[in-house]
Amino acid sequence: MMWVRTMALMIAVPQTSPCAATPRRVEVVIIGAGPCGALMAQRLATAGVSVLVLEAGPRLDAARDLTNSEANAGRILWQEPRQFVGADFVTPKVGTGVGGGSLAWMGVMPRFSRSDFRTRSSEGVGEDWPIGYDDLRPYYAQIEHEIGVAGDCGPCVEEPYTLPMPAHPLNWHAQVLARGARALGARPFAPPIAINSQPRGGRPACVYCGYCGSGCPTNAKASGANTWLPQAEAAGARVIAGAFVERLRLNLAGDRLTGVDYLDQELRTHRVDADLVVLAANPMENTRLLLLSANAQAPDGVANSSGLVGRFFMSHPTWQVFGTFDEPINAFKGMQMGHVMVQDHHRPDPAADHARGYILLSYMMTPVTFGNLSGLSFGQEFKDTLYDYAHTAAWWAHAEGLPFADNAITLDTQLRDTRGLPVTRVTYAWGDNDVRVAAAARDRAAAMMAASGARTVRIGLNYGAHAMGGLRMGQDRTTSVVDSYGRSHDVRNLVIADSSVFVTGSGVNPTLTSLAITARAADHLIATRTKGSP
Amino acid sequence: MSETPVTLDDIAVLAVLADGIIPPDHRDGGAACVHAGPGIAERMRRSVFGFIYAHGLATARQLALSTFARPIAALQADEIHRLLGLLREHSPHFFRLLRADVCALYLSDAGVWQRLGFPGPSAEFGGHPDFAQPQTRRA
Repeated sequence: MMWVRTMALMIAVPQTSPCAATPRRVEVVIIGAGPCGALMAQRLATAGVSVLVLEAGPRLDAARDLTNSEANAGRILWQEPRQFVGADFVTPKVGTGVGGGSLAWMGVMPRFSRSDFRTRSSEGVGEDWPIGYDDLRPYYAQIEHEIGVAGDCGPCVEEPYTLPMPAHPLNWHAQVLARGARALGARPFAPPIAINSQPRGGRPACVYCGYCGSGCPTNAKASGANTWLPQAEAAGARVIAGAFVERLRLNLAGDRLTGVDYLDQELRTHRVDADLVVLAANPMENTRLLLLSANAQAPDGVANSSGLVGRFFMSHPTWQVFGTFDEPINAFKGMQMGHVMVQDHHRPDPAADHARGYILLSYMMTPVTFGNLSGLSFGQEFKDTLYDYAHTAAWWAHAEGLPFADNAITLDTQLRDTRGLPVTRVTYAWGDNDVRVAAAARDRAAAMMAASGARTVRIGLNYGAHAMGGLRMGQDRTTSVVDSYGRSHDVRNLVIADSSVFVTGSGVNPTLTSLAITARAADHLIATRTKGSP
Repeated sequence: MSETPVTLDDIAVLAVLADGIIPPDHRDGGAACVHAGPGIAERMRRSVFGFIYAHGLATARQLALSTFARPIAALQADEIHRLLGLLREHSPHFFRLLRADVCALYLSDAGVWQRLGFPGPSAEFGGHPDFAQPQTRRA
């Protein structure tokens, strides 16, 4: 404590005095205002829980701050340094700001299949989850209706389901891709996508401007910021933007958190006491915070008695496959991703040379992103590629990457951020199966592109899409970090609620499953709270 | 945040390398038409990744001397092309960062968009209502 003289009074204030706007104590602190944090806040606040959401990034106004410009990436993507090492250059894109990753996402929302939760049992690879499709089915449906999903479930699902909005028409780009897919016997369809095909939820229908990845200025694309978060705030939740949580505070016994310390934009420290802390800040920052919070009670980091915090980090091995056509394609007209999808290979195939599976999605980008995903060419070859832009179609060949303990998130021992804190260090190498299944996806996409009539098929960048795992769920506290509800085995008032808890990554986009897991965790928290816990 | 020092020679070398990424031809002046050298130097100076640029430039200078026995400023276009190939192999972080920043500058230019057939922002004008129709003309 330090003494401060104010007028004639002597008052005692903590050295980490919070500003007047910061609650000193709440029931639940949620770290991260992405879609999962927003959903958790909405669920808890509407149940009468006092909630504070702390978000490191800014709060943006879509119409003002997210007008069509690729430069928006500087606002909505995590720009702080991270160290990426290992045999492969895996640098998954991560969002920031109120809305988090859903500001920059493409909105594609397929469900996982049953076998996605049972990779060890079904194919002898990866690991089984402690939950399955049937546990998440009601939450999938809830989320699809709440956030607003357009499209069809497609011909490949084990259990057909309906979505609340009709599918978007295929843009011309998707029609060109679909004809090649059909020619090779695939069944292309308009997949579930959280972009309004008609006015819904107070948000307009999409105008197909083609800038989805730079943020949606009309709010036709759903995000945490234009769906659950306003509902949470209406129910009393507080959201503080520009609040970087630097430490979780652990009690002397090391089995409960007492709250968090965060830095505001002027690097002043604020302290908030809480009964429960929810981490929803993506695998890389969740893990970093647990490791940064190490102390005498938890010398290897909070919630890390297993030694597995940060391990089994995953991404999706992805290839970009381009085709150049004589005819104009103008693929920039439409949603950037997911007008059409091929899911025929997202299932175990005993005849294949790989385990697990993959999907293909239409994905055409605005010019800067096109240049970046076109590969690593340079010189005249690269310039010729760029000048094919208007005549280019593109498949996003997206495969499942399996979990490996050595693919890990740690703290870098040298590089520090502007706050003086060690940055995240990501060590990654694709496994043999990852390489094979991604190659199968790439080659299938290339064949379909040729069947569509492309005069040139070009293989673009091979990269890691999505960040998953690192704090995986399981029943055994020696082989997992959290239980099936995301609750830490070690610290019972700590919950992880996003893709960090994934055991495997499936071959499809992960956000719907992240949200379903979060909704299930929220239900559990509310149910246990009524019984007097936590 | 501390800034990364940038010299005039750094700016000149960055301009040469940027021109190697997107070279001039009959269509336009390549990276030079968006003043990529100074633009990337400014990014190097202010970016948290300035250290990658600093290391990469040092590597580029070393490779130029060890491979061609001349400084970068004295290399011909085909030698710059070979140098970039070496950098892609030996200094991949720098190469990717440089390529991405050249892309960002060049492909954010409205004149380049016009040549590529990209109409630019459209949301405030109603987007692309003909998105599902056969496309018979470039924008």
